[in-house]
Amino acid sequence: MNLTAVAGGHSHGSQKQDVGFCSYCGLIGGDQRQRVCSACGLGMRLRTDASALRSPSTPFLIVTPDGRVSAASASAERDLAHVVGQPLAALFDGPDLDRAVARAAAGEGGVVTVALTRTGSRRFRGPVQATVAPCGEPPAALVVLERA
Amino acid sequence: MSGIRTNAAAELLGVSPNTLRSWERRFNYPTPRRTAGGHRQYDLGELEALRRALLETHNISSAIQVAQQRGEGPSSASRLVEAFERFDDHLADRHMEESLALRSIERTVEELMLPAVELAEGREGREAEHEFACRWATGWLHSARRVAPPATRDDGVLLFDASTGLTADGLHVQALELALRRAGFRVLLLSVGLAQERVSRAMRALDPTALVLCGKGATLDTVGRLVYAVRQHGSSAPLYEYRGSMPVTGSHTIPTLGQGPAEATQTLKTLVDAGAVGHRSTARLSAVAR
Repeated sequence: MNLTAVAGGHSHGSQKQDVGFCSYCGLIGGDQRQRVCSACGLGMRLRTDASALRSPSTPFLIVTPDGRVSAASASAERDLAHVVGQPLAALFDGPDLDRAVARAAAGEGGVVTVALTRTGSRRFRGPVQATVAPCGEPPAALVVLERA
Repeated sequence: MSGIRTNAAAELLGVSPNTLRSWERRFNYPTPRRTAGGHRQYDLGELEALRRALLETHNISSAIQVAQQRGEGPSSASRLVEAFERFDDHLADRHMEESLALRSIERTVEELMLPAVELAEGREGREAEHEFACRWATGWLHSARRVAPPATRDDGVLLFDASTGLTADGLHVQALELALRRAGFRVLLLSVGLAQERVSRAMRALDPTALVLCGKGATLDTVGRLVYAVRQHGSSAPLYEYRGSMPVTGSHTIPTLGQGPAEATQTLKTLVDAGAVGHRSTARLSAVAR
């Protein structure tokens, strides 16, 4: 199934250009030979589609194929407090979120945006959307949180 | 201790010496000893464990937890047994949560829960602890099943459970059910001893791609009745066995899916994806038994 067909979600186009980013400070680019981010020393350098993460300050989560949060960016940590190890479903909900995350974590599909119907943070109350894309290594889903 | 100096340790991990020192302050790991002159000397084993963990995780604190756990040796299942011995379900839950920060649900179940219940099984005078372990593990697996994502595959798997009572064998069956659901299969778990007409209704509802005999309590008679009932329904779905559930001591023709839930799930996925498992049955086409 193509996620572009998922109701409520839309794809960001087909041209795929990978970019490196830090799982903690969100720094985009940097030295890709290094596993640990040399800027903050607290995140791993991962890769994702360049269209998924446009700004380092946008809060995002890394979610494993189990649906658990395995890393939170510094800005997500400020908004959501300690979420690493928690199921994503305990924080956010959305009609297409589970499926989008499962596919992205499996390395399938491209960048999709899904609406969130419930959030676990006061900061995110109101219309919020998540941009979901494959990232890694190890394979996981990048979930970028934005106001709709 | 092997005694690796800071610069060499930092180079081994691909970070700067400052980053390495900041981890020591923030996470208290790695923990170097000090020479008489006050220089840090890192343990090579710790560094190696951390280097590997950095590749397997998405943030530093998780990598450090992984490395620390590896450093503590294979005590995870033993620690869970300690929770059983205290009848402490909160402590058992906490061990599982700690493991889930580092491993998948499948690995946590297979590498922590099931070995711990097996360790707790069959110990003289510890039947209550073992029963507690089985009840706690059953509850945990049910909770995990409730939050499993919806099926993403058309393929249905009908599991026939021949396990009896509260045993590790029964938990293996539940763990297989969970792993298959989480792999996207539609799954139905039924007792192997069900009457034929009840199996038929289940077959109609699921229209399974594969049938799996699980648990060690089946007899040849029950397996024979089961296969007869399935074929009566017109299904050509192949039958597999899991963890030596076929009640024969010699060789038999029923293929096995393996000894653990992850292996069995992977085997079934491979078979289905390769088209080796015939797609769903002739059940809807044929009302006549073969």
